[in-house]
Amino acid sequence: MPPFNSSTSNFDSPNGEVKTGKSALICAAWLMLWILLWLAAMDIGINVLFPYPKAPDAQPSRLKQYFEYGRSTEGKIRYMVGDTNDNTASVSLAGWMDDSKTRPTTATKPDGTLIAVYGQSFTQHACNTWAKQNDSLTMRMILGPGAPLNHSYAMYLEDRDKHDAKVCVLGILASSLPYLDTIAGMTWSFERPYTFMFPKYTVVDGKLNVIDPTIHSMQQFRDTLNDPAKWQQLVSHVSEHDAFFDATTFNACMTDQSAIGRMLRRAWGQRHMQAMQAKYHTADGFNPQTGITDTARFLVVDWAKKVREDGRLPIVYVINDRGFADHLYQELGDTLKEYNIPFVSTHAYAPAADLANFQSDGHFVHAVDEITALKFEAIVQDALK
Amino acid sequence: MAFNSIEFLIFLPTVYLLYRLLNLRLQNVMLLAASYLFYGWWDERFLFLIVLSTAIDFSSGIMIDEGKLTRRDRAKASAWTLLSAIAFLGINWQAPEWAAKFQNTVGWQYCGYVLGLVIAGNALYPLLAKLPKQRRRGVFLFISMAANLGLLGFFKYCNFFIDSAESVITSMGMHATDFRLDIVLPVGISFYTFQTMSYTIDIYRGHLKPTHRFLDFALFVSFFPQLVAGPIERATHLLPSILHERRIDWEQSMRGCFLILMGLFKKIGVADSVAIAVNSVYLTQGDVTQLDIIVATVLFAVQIYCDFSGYSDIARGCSKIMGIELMTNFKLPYVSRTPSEFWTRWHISLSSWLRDYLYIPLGGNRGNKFMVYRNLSLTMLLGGLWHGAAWNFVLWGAYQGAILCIYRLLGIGVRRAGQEEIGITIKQRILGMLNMIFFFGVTCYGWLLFRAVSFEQIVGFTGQLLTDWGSSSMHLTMRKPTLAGMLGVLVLIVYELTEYNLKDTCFYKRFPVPIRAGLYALMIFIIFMGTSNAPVQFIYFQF
Repeated sequence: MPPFNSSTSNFDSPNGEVKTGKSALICAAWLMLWILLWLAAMDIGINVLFPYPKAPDAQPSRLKQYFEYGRSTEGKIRYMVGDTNDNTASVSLAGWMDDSKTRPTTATKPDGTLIAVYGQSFTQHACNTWAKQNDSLTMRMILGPGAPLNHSYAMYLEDRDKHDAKVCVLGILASSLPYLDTIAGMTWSFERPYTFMFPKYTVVDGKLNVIDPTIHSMQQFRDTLNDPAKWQQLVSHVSEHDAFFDATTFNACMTDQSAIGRMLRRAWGQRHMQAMQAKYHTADGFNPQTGITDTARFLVVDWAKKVREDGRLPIVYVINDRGFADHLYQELGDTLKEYNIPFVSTHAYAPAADLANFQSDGHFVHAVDEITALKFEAIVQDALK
Repeated sequence: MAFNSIEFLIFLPTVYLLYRLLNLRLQNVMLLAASYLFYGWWDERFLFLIVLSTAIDFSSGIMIDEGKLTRRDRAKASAWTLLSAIAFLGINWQAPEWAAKFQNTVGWQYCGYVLGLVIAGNALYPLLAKLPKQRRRGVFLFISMAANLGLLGFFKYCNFFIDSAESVITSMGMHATDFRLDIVLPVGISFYTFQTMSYTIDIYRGHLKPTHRFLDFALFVSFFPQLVAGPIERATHLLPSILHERRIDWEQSMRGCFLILMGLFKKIGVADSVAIAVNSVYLTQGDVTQLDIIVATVLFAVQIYCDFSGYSDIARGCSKIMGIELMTNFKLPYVSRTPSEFWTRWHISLSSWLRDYLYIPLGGNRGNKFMVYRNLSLTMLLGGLWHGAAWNFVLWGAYQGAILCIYRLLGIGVRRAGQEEIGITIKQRILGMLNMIFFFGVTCYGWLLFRAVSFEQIVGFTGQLLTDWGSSSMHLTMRKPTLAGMLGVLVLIVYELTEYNLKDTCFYKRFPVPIRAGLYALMIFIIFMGTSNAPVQFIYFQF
């Protein structure tokens, strides 16, 4: 390694531009002014070039979405929720405890089986694949976007008397486990908020403590949104009981009008979510100190007990999604075995660290859902023997 | 505290304001306190190592050159060592209650050892001071080297060597895991130990006079902008800036602010934005395609450059606004056409350190060809090991040594950074560009070795690169870089190509204010875009 060429200095050479005192200050102010002008021009340019579409259900381009991610949760909700269901974004209509949807209450085919499914899109994909593999099955799906276990559990309690399903599937998503400490989808889905609300459960002295969300349907939510006093009450209720609530990302304000303001809020929102996730989950697994693992075990056991009391077969679908290794299985595996609850855990055949198992949107590829469906079928066949 | 954190956003302006209000002596005291706070933000316990290293090198430097320590010098070194042991080892600052902060049995036990060490040092002093001059100089150089390399070896390489010797340990009927130590690697230990070693070596060589100002020397060792990831400064350059009155002018301040902006742009706008794509290939346990490996490795080349040179830029910028010049650590490394040129452009402070304190003492270019190749290989191998206690870094060092030897053997290129290209033809220019592209590929393979998480991954990826040429391997399964990353890379390429063609690191100053402001605004905008990425720790913090 020969020495450097002596002509090559490793330090900045002084330049002839010498300014002192007042002239330096004027130069700095002039430069700052121009920088601010450029930033303002960029901000306005982005708002003009990438306006968000007026229709709440329109699919904006990825660039348009990119510059909208940082809008406040309230700002997005006011945009997504219209006066009627027809002009409300479909994602906002999903997951409500009282959604007035018509679902099959019995198997549609003679000698067929009705399966009641509680969970989120992961569970939906797997059960749809199952229904394709076995056309005697009819699926009754009660889902929520990214729905946590408290939502699915509450949904079963609401739904248990409304159908004659022989089998019940409960999908538990590892990345949604921390949301056991929440009562609303809108606090943990900042970039595209889910409006649905659900109860929060905690285990106190071996008993389940319930906090009601106060809002159970889109219509109630819409009425609340359009009444400032009620809205403030709701925000206050959510901030009190929802661990993921953050006023900076939630409340609408002037910065919603600025592209830079939105980007900075997005950065804040990301850091808030990372901080919250880090509180509940680390590289070693879920943090037992937060209490969510105890609650999850309690809810699963209680759910299976209730399903059996109703004369049905419970199946728990343990979804170890990207970034969560087999941590959910580690938390629930022993309990499920101890109470002899049939379960399918994805860690065994679709490791979360293997990108090939996932689509770009984070869901499992179809091949994984096919394996899951076969495993569900095997459990049912085994139970029938 | 990291440069890309909210805390630093408050820390730097506060330090700068205080700096402008104080005189030289108080400026240095304040900077020392700020530097300790900056470092202690991660883990205050390791500040003790910095003070220990400072005290040993302070004393050794004086003993090498002057042969005696005044009582005052000895008292300063002893008192600082003891006080730092009490403050950083004895008191447990993490404890929630005041009473619990002092109930740290293990910490006080360490304080006892430190007290023993200080007493032993003072007791031995009269004996060592009486040694003949040459002997004494050698002994104190050895003490300095042993202390610094000992700290580095213990904290950085202990477990590595235990793991590497696993088969030997197992053959003796024992388990390697029984010998593993529960050690946390102190941030930046490789950087500050190399910096302080250069101080005593330079005094030994007669290139530098020791200082008797303990606090100023402590600031040289721990100056916060370059403490944890360089540039590795030489005492001959940095110490005079610390000891003497500094002037801050408009030009320096503007350049300093620009360097901070450029560093944040490189780190937040580019490096963190492409990290997600790189990690999706290197951290997966599943299958990846050949194109995934190629794209991820090229992106890693961008990531590590922007991450590390971004840090250096911020470090230089922070120093510059306080009137202290740090050396340039990077000079457009990816325009290099040969490995020797690359090492005059990449991590210059380390490569020049290795050249001056390892390569040349080994014999350098003197002797026969075999000796020169041996010196090159050994230097690069140790340079690789300096980066981290893992075999892939050793392999990377060996690879760098090998390509240096091969290029030298083939007689290719002696061009260095800054060398003018006058009177070259278009054909030569095209050939030069082709060499540049080819060598970039060679560099990227080195980055594959550097980034790989296991030896199996190196073998697997290399095999795929060499053999998997089917059409099925030519699609991407990896995650894409973010919009900020793609835009940032584009802006960076245009910026660096302009700098390269104009051969002027400050070319932007030629633009009128509105255009220059447009460039700054664009960089700020991309930083804002990049802030929504998950913050990634600076890669070189682990070294």
